[in-house]
Amino acid sequence: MIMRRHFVTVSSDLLHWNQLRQHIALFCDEQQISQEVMLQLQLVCEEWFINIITHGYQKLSKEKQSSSEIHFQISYNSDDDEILIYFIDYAPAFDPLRQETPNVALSAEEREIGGLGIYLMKELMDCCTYQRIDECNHLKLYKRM
Amino acid sequence: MMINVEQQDEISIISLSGRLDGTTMGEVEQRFLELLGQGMKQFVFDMSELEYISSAGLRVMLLSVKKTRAIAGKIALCKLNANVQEVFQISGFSTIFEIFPAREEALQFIRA
Repeated sequence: MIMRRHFVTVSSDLLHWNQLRQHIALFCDEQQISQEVMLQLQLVCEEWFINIITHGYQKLSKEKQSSSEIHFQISYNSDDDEILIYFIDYAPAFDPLRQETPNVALSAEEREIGGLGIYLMKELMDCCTYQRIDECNHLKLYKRM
Repeated sequence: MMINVEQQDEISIISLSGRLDGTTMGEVEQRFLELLGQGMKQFVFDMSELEYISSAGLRVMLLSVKKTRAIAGKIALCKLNANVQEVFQISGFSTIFEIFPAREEALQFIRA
């Protein structure tokens, strides 16, 4: 089995999103993953990254934060021809899979933007799993190529 | 992110290039609100050079359409690339906006 991985740990600051997306671009380039899929992966990661910050770390007072880091891993398994994105953070529990699905058929006037990011994430990936382990959020996102 | 604005009669043509994400949405929002503040009511967003949009970018687009319709203005988009188009489709934004393959068609819709 050929498995290639990239790991990166960034602090939970929106400015670090650029750092993370460059890692994704580099990984996709090395694995010869198409530009189209690369942009989808960046989108999915941005949605979760921002979610961790806005629904997670920003809601915690500074004293209560044991860590404000975000661990990120992207890997490609050539046997299954599948990409796995794995995020771990220390923010309060937040299960994206239990969030209400937004009604995307509403008119502009009725629309609220909330929940779209998580929805896009689930729609663009083939499988998502969430676990709360030792005070950490573990999110795994799979995409078959 | 590059934002270029040109005027054609009463229509503001806003060309976006690069990435419309959580780090750049503020620039687009600010530029749009400036035009609105100057009394502009008709907008075409030319997205031909827009590589990427996330839900943060969709937030600005929703704000634009809501604000424009609230003043009985008109708004249209043109030349979305495949990736941006996919995000619009999944999120249901393709039914919220009038979207055209060519800039001229978007301008015709606004003038009509």
